[in-house]
Amino acid sequence: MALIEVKNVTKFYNSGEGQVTALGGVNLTVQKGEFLALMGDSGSGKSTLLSVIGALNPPTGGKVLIDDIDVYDLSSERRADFRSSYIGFVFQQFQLIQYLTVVENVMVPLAILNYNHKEQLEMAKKVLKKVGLENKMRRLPNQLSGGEQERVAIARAIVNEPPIILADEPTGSLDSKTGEGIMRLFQSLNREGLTIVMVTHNRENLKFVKRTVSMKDGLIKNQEN
Amino acid sequence: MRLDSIAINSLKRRKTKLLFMVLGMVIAVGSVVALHSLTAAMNRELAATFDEIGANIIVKPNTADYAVSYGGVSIPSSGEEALLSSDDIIKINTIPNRDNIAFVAPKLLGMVEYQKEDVVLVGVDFQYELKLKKWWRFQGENPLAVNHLLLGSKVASKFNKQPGDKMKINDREFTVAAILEEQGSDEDGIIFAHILTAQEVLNKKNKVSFIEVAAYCTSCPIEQIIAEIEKALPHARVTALAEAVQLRQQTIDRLSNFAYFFSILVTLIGSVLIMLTMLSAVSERVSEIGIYRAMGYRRSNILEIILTEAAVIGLIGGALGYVLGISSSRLLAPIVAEMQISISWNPLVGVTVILFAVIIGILASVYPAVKASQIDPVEAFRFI
Repeated sequence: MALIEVKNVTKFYNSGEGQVTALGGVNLTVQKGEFLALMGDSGSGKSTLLSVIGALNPPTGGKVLIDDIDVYDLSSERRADFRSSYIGFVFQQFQLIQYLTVVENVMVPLAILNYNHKEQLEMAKKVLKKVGLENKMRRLPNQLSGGEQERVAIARAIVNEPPIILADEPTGSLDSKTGEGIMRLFQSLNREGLTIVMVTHNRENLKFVKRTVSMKDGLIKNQEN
Repeated sequence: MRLDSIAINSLKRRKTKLLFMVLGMVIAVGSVVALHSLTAAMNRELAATFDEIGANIIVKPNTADYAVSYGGVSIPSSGEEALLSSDDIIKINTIPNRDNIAFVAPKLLGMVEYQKEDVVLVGVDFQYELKLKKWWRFQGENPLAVNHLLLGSKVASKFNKQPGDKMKINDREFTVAAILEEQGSDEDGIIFAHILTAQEVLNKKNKVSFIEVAAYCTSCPIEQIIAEIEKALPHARVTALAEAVQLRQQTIDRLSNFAYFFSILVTLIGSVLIMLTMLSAVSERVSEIGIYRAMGYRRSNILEIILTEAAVIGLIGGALGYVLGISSSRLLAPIVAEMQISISWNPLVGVTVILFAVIIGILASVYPAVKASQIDPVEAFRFI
């Protein structure tokens, strides 16, 4: 069953040197429960495609359907609600809120939902245990290693149980051993049923994914299982 | 965790920014509070000082042809004079603005003969007269009994009288309660008696020559009080001691105008400062706000976070500003105002000041908050 359908999506940017094509007409279908890697050189359009799938970046043309919902047909505020229920993001450089503790960072997506403090805390503890950080809950992000910060970012992405995880270069700032640990974590989350789309340019990561899509110049070049 | 916890944590863990914004608010609130406390206290002190000058309204009957005068009022040389009555005192005490009348001091003037000499006798209500004439110093006891007399210094030396001596005027016996120290005015040649006794001695029962009224308040217009007395006593002429009243009013007006102008200026500068600091904070937090938006935060959620931060800054700044304002005005009052003034803590004013600071903080942050709420969620992917 197709969970994500990208239909002939284009994205053009205006720069000082004229129009730049970030996506030149992309078609992609992601099935429920897939673990997909988007590969490509810098500037190939993979991160743009990820942000378009994530309902963050309206395309210039084409459609994005997630769970049969045309996400860019929704108003900006409805799209925010949609992101809250459907998508968990793991950003490059972790993007944790520096003034919040580990557990508070994980609770951020829950603060706008109808959970009381006790329920929020229990949900956050549960996912922090899953990523192996239950004993570092009260620390601030700058008191953690890069790998630990990545784990917090993953815990934050899955705490409200969205069906899709979008990860942008999740191992880009980590050494290979820590990066492998993170990929194993993604793999186990995928085995639990989460659909994961990950942007990477590290070929080592491909052994953990189910399908790889290569991009070049804003177009999909080939797909491998 | 709620949105306000995010706002409070954001402030708590970015202390330098918080300190800077709170400091701006404290200085603004503190200066406004200090200035208003100082001017309000100075107004009170000025009012009290002017009260000491004495009466500022004189109520007289419409008369002409005077021979003897006292306090700007004269006694006719002959014939019937127009007089006010004791009822008029009650009428003055019942005007709508009666709360602003400090006291009413009636007087009855007349000539009496003592040891074959003509002397001016003035009947007064000693209770109020002594409050009105705070500068009076006399030897002897307070002349409060109905048969007590207070003699002007010239009268006392002319008839060789001492406190405790007896005097018989128009067949009635009096005791000299006190001798007034030399005043260098008409008062030195006057015998003061209790007004009820004077009315009997002068055979002018229930009559009053003129009434001095001491009216004051820091905000009420003296003209209004005069108009009300005129309405109550159509047969009388009511005049204000214009110079004293105008001087007081002008001084208070100038101080108040300065305080208001300064407050508006400081509030404006403070608001702009908060707005600019908030704008700079928002531009530093583009990526962070992008993350919140990417995670599904609505624009209203972002507005709530930023405005809660502003309210907290207003709350802390307002409270500290009030403390600073009152403390500094207490410290500075003797130097700035050159007078001993009392400035006290007032919880109601404190709460109002804090509320005002919170509102100013929120209003000044509306624009930065709206800007923040418009940040594109794709900013979370800033490095794209």
